[in-house]
Amino acid sequence: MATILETNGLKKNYLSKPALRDITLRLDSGRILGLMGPNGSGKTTFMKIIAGLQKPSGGTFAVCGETAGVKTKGLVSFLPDRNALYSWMRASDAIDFYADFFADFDRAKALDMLGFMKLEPGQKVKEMSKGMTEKMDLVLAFSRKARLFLLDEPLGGVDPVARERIVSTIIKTWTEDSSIIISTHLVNDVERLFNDVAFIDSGEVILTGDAETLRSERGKSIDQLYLEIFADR
Amino acid sequence: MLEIIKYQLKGRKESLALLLGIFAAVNAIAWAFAGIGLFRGLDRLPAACAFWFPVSIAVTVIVTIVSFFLCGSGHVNDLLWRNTSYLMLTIPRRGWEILAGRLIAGLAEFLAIAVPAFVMMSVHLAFIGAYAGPGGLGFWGFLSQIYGRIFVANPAPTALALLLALCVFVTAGVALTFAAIASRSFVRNRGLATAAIIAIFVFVSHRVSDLGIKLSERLGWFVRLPIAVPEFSMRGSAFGSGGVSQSFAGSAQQLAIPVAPFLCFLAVAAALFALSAWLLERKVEL
Repeated sequence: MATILETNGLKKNYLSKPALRDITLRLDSGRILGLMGPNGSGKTTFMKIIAGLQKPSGGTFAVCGETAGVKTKGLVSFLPDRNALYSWMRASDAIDFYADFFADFDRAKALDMLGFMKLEPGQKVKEMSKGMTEKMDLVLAFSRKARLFLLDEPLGGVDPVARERIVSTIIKTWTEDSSIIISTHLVNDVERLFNDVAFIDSGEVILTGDAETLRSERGKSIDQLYLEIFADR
Repeated sequence: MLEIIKYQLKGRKESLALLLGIFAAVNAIAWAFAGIGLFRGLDRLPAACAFWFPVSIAVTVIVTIVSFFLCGSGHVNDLLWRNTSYLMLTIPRRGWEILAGRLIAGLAEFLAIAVPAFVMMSVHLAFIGAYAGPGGLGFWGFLSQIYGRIFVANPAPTALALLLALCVFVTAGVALTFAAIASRSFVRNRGLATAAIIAIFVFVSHRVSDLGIKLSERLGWFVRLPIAVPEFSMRGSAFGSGGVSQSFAGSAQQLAIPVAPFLCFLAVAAALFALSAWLLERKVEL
C-alpha cells in the first residue's frame, strides 16, 4: 500500500491563536478516513492546508511524496463546505471548466454522475438549490481520478435521499489507489464507510485508529464514541 | 493561461452585454433627438439634448473609468474575496498564470467597453460639430474629420498615445492587483490595507515619475512627434444662441514626450506583478 498523505507536526496559528497543533497523520491508499470533531476543532483548517488554500505555520505534509505546491493541487480533489462554482455557469460549463483545468478529470463519468444525481447539463448554478449545488460539487470532485479526495461536510444541508446518493457515490468512487478524507458531524450516516477515524478537538488529534478496531475495543459505534468524547467538551 | 482568459471572459459576458446595452440605449436616445433636430434643419441642438447629451456622456465616461480600474486589476476582488476563489485557487496552475490570464482578459474586456465608448463620444462630438461647427460640413463630414485627424493626419502620435494608455492601464491594474493580494496576504482589514498600499503606490509613483523625467533629460530620451493641427472654426454655441465665432489657424507642432518615466513605470509594474504572483502562491489564504 502506498502512502497517499503524510503530515508531520502540522501547525496552524491565526495570529496567536492555535488552530492546529502538531497534527501527525499517515493515510495509505485505499483507505477512507473519517475526520470528526465539533465546530471550530480544526477540521476545515486541516483540509484547507492539504488543498493548498492555507499555509501551515509549522510542520510539513506530502501528498504521494510531493510537498505542498502546484503538483499537490493536481493530486488532491477538494470538496469545500460551500459552493465555489461561478453563478454564471451551467452544469455543462462547470464540467468543461474541470476538464480544462484538471488532467485527471473524466468527462464521461461526470455526465453519468450528473444523471445519477438528477441534474441537467443545462441547469444554471444560480438557479440550483443548496442540495443541488452540493450534488453538483460532488459530481465534479468525484469525476477526477485524484489520489486524495477531501470532502468537507459533504452531507450538510442535504435531504436524506440526496444524502444516500452522496454516500453511494463515495462508495462507487472508492478505488484501491486513492484515499478519501471525510469531515462530518453526521457520523451515523457515513460511519460505515470509514476504515480509519481521527477525532480532533481544539486543533489536536485526541483519538485516532482503525475504525473496526475502535468499535470492537470500545464496544461502541463510531457515532456513540463521538458522543462520548465530545459530550463534555 | 488561455483557459483562465476563456473562463474569465465567459464570466464577464453577461455584465459586458448589459453595460454595452445601457451605453447603446442612452446614447441612442441622445442621438435620436440630435438627429431629428438636424433633419428639421435646426441651427442648435434641440432642448431635450440639454438633458440627454450630459446624461449619455456621463454614463459612458463614468462606466469607462470604473471599468478601467476593475478590468485593469483583472477583477482581482472576485479572485480573493468570494466563494469562487476556492475554485480558482485549487486549480493546478501557477500564480503568475492565474494573474496574467485575468489581466489579459481584463484588457480585452476594457477594450470591449472603451472602443464603443470612444465611438459614441465621437458621434456626440460630430453632432455638436454639425450644429456649432463650420457650415456645410454636416454630421458625416464632421465625423470623418474627427477620425481623419486622429488616425490619418496623426498616426504616430495616436499610436504613441495608445501605447502610453496601455502602459498606464497595465501599471495601474498591476498596482491595484498587488494592493488587493497584499491585503489578503497579511492584513485582514481589507479597506485599511488597500488604502495604505495605494497611498504607498502614489508616493512611489511620484518618485518614479521624477526619476524618469530626470533620466530622460540627462540621457535625452524623448520621442519627438509632429502633430498636425488643421484650420478650424466655430460659428457659435451648439446649445445656445448668440455664440461668438472663433477660428483657429492650422499649424504643425512638435510634441516631446519623455520615455524614461514610462519605462520606469513598466519596470515597477513588472516587479509588482512578480511579487503579486509570489504572494498569491505562497501567502494568500482563504
